[in-house]
Amino acid sequence: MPGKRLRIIRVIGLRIAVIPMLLCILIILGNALGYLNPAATNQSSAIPGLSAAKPAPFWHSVYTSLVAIGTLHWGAGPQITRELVLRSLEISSILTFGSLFVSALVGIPCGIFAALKPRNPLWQAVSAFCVLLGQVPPADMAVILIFTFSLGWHLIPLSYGWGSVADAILPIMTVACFNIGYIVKYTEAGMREVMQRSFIAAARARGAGTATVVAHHALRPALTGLLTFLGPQTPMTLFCTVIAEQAFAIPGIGTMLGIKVTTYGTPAFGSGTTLSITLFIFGLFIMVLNLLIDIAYLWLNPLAD
Amino acid sequence: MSFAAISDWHERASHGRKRRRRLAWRRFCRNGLPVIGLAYIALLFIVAIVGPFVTRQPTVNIFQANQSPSWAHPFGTGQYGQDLLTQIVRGLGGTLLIGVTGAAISVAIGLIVGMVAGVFGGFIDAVLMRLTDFAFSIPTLIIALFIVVVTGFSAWNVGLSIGLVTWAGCARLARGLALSVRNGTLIDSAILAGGSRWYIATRYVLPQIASNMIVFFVFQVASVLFQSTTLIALDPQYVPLTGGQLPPGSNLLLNLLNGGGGSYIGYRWLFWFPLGVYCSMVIALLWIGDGLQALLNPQQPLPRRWFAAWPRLRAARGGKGVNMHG
Amino acid sequence: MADFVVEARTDFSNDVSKQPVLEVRDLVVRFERADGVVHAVNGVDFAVRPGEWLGIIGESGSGKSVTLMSILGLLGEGGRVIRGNAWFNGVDLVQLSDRQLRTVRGKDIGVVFQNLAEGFNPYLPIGSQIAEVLVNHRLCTRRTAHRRVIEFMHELGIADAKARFQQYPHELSGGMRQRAMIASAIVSEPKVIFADEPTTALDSTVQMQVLALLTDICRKRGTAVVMVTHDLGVAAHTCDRIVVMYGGVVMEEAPIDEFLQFPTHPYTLGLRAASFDPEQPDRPLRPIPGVAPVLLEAPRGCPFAPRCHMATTVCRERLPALRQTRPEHRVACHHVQGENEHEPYPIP
Repeated sequence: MPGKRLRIIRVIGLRIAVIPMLLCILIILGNALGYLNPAATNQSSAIPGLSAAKPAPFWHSVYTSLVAIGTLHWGAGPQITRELVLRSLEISSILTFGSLFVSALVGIPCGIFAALKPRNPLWQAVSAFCVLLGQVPPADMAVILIFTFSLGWHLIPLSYGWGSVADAILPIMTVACFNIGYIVKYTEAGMREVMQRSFIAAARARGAGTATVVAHHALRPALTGLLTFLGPQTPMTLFCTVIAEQAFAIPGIGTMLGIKVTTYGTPAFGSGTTLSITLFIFGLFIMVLNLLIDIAYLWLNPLAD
Repeated sequence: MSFAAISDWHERASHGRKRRRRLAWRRFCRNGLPVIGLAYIALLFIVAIVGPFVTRQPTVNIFQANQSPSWAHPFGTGQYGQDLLTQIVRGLGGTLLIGVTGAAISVAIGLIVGMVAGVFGGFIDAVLMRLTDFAFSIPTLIIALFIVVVTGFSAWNVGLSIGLVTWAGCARLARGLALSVRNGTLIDSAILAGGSRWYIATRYVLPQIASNMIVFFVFQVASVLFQSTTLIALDPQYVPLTGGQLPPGSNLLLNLLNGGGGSYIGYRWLFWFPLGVYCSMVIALLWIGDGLQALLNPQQPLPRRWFAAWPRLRAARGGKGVNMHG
Repeated sequence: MADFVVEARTDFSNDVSKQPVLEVRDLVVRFERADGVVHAVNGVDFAVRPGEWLGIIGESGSGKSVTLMSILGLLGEGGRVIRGNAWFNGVDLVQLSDRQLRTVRGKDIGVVFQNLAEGFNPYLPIGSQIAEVLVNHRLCTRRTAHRRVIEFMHELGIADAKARFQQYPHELSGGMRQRAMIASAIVSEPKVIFADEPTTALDSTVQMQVLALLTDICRKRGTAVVMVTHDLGVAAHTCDRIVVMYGGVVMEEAPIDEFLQFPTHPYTLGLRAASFDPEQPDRPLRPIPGVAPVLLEAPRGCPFAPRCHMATTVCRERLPALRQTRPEHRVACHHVQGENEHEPYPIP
């Protein structure tokens, strides 16, 4: 239908147009927050060539962050190159999207079966187990997975770093475990709700079997319900990726930006510039994820505007 | 004659109320899990309140470091020889404080933003909803982590920082609910009766969306606890000994989950006991939330009763409200 | 390429000698709910002859819709047929498994649901949902089904059927949606159609149009219709025979003329007294005292007894059986004696 497609394109175009504006606001916000940090004023600046004793003026630091983002070069060390930054972005996106894909692949069928068979103890147990998996903190989940699959059962060789496919399995599982919890939960809830609506009875009265009813009639409404809950979870997915990168020593974007403390009590963010670059990269990730979710939602739901 | 009829209605109505309340309780405790969750959380609260009075801050005793569970130390000891059970008990209050503070702040901000947007509408609605969209797309935990780094690590600050950045979901929910209430005829009649916006918001909209907000609050406590553990994993707080004593923040569950400043590799009790306490706490909260949600959505059919004693008791009372001839 | 086989049909309308196409005997349906077992249907008998319009009337909660849905195995959560038969084509539908019933649903028995916005899936185009019947039963290929549905929609008076085929349910008006619903029920040429309050949510002009359409198309094809309604006027307008239900029990069964001239059961009389009669416009409307029962217990006597002005001890003790009072007129009441009982009761 041309009308529907046109409307979807318009809505998506509007969303894309807003993203640069939001990113600019994030950079300014990051620099403003950086001025609140008392430690940053006394430290040597993250940008080489700036005097350490005097903090840079506000708009100057905003300009510095913009330059750093534009040239893809930040931090004091010359070892950080454009290639390294792009590589880390690539690794992080593989982890994030891979985990979302895996968790959807496992979680949605589990949720559907748990909703369709409310008296089957097996599927109820699977659903409850998935919800439990989603509540285990990702740092601990990484440890559990390493000890189970690598050290316990010797299924996956334990190797830190990034390079082969085997390196990606456990980090993706770590992040997928977080996602799978709410995917199962909301698929189940949505499916339960949809299966009670009267158009399902109407479809069955037209001679549709259970498989047809679920695949053709109930799945789309249930998935739109899931997608509305998926949107707010994207930041957490990203942070789980960062933690998985830390746990498996993967040179992803979290490691690149140095989001961890190296010495006792030292603040994580040296200056507003570092913070704003971090906010920019993560904000971009989240906005792209949200955009994809919006597109999926508009594609699934003919009622949406 | 009419009086008799009215008194009969009253009896029916009060009876219906009683039956509704009983049904509501049964909806809440369908398959028993929410009741177990409620009991468990109540137990945790009691332990958190009583615990600090009956235990002493664990002392550093390097000769008892990393001991496996025994009768003297049921959960084993940590890297400084501190008793893990005592640490968990003394840190429970702070852990619950993080969850409740964070959830309360985020629900309060979200409720005000969403309700103002829903009730006032128009330009205010547009501005507030753009703000909410923005809050959805910022990396919340980075900012929360920054706030914790600047203000210092304590239970209050962790809860506050997470609460300040996670209100967007609540705002969107509150706006949707406020809109659905506002579009009903009840609000039209209130406007016709001359109620001001503020009056309508507090007397009409708020009571109707309060129950959903309570459910959201319960789930938000679990979510804030999860985010706090992630926050600490992003920025692990190493615990320096000050004057031979452990600082109070080191007892918090989210700190113990990440090894409590040491390493749990090789000392599995240091890993599993805090994780078990944390997971059971969060799952109990989810169960309570599920029960409350079932209470609020009566359309969802209840499963058949599992226990046979309960219907027999009800039948002995003569199946009131059922009597077709009286 | 004969994808679509249409059997030759003859006009059976009002042919009494014909065997009933659907015969329901002693149907009992219960729902297990949180607050106890709901005895929705407690022994219902009726039969539908080929080409006949049977109207089932009664208050909401009297088990009309549940009866129809239980025949097709479409009861919701907790619903169960306890006993009874529903003979259709020499097969007892109650005994069939869900998989076997699926071959009957839509193909041999079509259903027109109430015109709620929920009758069609809001996520799928309306045409594909109508064509679904043909595709599900492998009556023809998807492409032929598409063409056939468009032809059929045109026949049903849906203007610009090709564009409508692609539209979503929320883009259609209520009357259009109900026409589409009728199309989805009839497109596979079933022998019986269950119409569950087909016009309740429509305004009266559209209601008349939709009813006329349904009557016309069913008469043309010789399809039998079982229509559930609570509107006496609609029933009087369209039906050949009326079954009155109350509390999950059949109270009275009569051909429509007989029913309008000689209503016999106290409940039917109460219904008549409560509804507007154009022949006596000045007569005040009298509601039936009391409320409809919540069927949490199996009715011990006549379910109408608590509200009946002539109830006696017998009524509260024993469920009255359906008895023939006049040719083709059956009543379940202890106080209707037999053939000689023609005079309607005075309304108190």
